[in-house]
Amino acid sequence: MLAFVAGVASGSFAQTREPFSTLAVSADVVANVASGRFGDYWDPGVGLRVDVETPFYLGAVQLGLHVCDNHPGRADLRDFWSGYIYLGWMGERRLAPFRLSLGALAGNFLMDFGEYSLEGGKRFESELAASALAGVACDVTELWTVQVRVEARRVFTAEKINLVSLSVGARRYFTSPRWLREVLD
Amino acid sequence: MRAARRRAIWTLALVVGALAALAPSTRATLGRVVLHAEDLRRAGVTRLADIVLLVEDWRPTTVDGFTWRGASSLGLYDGRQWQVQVDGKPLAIDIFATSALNRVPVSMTQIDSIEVFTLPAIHNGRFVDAGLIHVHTIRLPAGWSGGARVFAGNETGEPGPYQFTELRTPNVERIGPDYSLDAARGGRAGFARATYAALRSYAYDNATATRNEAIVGGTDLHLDVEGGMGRARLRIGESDHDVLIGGSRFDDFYFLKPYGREIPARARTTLLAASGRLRMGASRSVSYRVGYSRNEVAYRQNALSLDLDWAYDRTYGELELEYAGATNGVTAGFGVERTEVETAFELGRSKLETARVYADTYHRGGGRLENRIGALLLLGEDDVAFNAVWQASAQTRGHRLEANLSYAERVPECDDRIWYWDERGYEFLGDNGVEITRHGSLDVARRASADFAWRPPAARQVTCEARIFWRFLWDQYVERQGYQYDATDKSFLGPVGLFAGERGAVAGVKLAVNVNASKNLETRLVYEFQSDVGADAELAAAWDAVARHHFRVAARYTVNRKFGLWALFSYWSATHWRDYEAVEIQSGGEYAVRLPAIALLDVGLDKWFWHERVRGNVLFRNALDRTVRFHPVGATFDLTVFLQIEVLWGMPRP
Repeated sequence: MLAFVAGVASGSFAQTREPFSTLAVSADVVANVASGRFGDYWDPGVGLRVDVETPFYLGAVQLGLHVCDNHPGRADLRDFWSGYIYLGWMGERRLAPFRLSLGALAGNFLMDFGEYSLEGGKRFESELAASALAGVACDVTELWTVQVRVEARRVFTAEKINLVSLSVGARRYFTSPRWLREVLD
Repeated sequence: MRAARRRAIWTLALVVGALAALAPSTRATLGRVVLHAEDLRRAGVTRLADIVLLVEDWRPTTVDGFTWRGASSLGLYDGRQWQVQVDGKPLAIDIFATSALNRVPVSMTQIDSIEVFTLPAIHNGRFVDAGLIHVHTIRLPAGWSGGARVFAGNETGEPGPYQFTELRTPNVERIGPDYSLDAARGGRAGFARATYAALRSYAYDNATATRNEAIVGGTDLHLDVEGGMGRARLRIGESDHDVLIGGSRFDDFYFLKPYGREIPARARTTLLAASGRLRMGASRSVSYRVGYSRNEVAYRQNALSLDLDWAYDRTYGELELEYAGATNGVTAGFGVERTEVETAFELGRSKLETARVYADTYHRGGGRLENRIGALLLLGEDDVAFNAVWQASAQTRGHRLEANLSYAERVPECDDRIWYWDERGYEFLGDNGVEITRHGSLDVARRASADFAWRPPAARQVTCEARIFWRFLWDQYVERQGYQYDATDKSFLGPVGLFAGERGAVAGVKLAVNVNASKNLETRLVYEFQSDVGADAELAAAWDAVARHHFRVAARYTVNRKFGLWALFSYWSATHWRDYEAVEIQSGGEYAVRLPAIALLDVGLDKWFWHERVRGNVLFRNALDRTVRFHPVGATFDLTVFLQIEVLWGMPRP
């Protein structure tokens, strides 16, 4: 949210493309690099993130999903799957051939405890999460870029979960279909 | 008694006649706020009760986060709450002076605007003494139209994976999902509309869950409202007629303060009202308003077998004549109201009849001076109450001065607090161990108020306003309750003392600055201070529960017609609730006599899709994620996210 305000205030991320005119589909491999107190209990494994980004009236908006398996850090615990489904706003600055981006994400952090819940507890839990995301992308062709991104996330459970992750991936640009622009605008 | 009524009617006639002769208006803006549909959408309002947080002059409180009460410089939390009107028709939804706004079966999709009066006024034949909320619904286009809305919220603080560890914590509240559906048909002669709405909330908060689980005998702690409303408007010649019919069912945890806990209850409301206006030329008209409502609090399964067993049947009728000229106008009317109570308790009096005579006059003095004077006389069976208000504004060299002066009397017959009914034989409290001691008799309460506001000329994009106010209070009664804490189910019980004849004053100041830095960004900063002045001891202690300082910053950033951001930061200073002094020690500090200051930041995003047929809104309430509480024994609130989706079909965006 702060990043959003800062981005708008600075005017650094001026909109140059027609809103909703393109779709950028990304796929990243995500590795956790810091997990605070959560790390004493579980270790978020290597995960996968997929997102779709489109130009907005200011900057760009994205819809994404990051899934990973959280491995237990203690013998009395078991692993569980988590999925973070989010909406985000990103500002981008081009320094050809690079693209620098900064933005904020917010969404639902879904947890599936599977058979673990049979030991007592709920199988599914969900909680609000918010993150700051920064990235550097490099244009490989007109339609393809490769990117490195770092994300700092907070999950607002009673005992907060703070995670920092690093991701590497690729992005492909498409022209938005007309019907989608009609719906979104 | 007849002599007293005659004297009072003559007084009214003389006062209104004399003032009308002097009178210099159009409606003064001091103490009147209009929240348009767009404002409500931006602010993420999904339930009618949410607007309490948007009104600057009110200090909100809630135990469960669903039913809200408000205090202002005009009255305490225990006093009478706001009146409610929908499309000019008064709706009686209060039960023992608690107006649960969410019981009004109106869908947010249908709201055009909400007019809020925070200062005394005469509005649709009623004297506004503690606030009024007037909901205006949209006028519908020709043909079929409809709308649907779904909403859900989630408070943060779930245990998450830690539920399997030593860091396990209880689950927290969910809000909703709420639904509403509207269908309407418009034509040249009018329109008809039907609305259905269902709301759901949960009372899982640690502060209230134990006592609610104890009384329910389980963990199913949900509050449900389900209701519907139909409205038809018809134009016949030079006359308009409007009929409203509705009803709601509310499965509630009714917080009965004197009993110190929530009581599961099923509240049912049935509403039937009609109004109309016949125009006689360009400036004259005759209006009528008639209505019936039944308001019932029935038994809902509970472990203590508590049954409030209470139902009101209210009927009213009003006739009003209006002359509205370019420079002068007058509205005069007469109304009768009858309330009949149904309960198994043997009441000394179960029927109350009152009559109202009122007049409201305005004068515009050459466009610079505007005056509005109104008086209302309420004739009860035992007492007569006189209410009057003078609203004035003057404009000179860009400076605008406004004033609101009022005098109000409240007769016991019109006071819906439980103490009056207890006096008449409703012995629910006594039967359940609440000891009541009266210090003096409950009599006609009186209040005079004065508000003066000044707006200097606008400087570029900045406008300012300053207001000072003073209220004199006589013959007020104040309740004091020395609660004792019951640790087994976290409930509270204690003897009540009612202190009558209390007097004192409340004074304050309000400063506001509007800054429109660009055509896209609007901000408003408000600071308000109020305090009792020289009040009697009991009254002064009661005012300590109302925040003295209030500060807020509201900002609206409109990117374009389809997308905008909204933020509101509100701060209310710490308050002291003396009834809970013993409880603080007995509960080991879990419930404190001092309610800490509340700092609340709400941030919302609003986006329209598909040629303004679909709207999505995300609201982050309490974005600072500081735990806040609005009542010493009420629920606590952390960061909460609300999502709503609205679909409009054939209906213009208001």
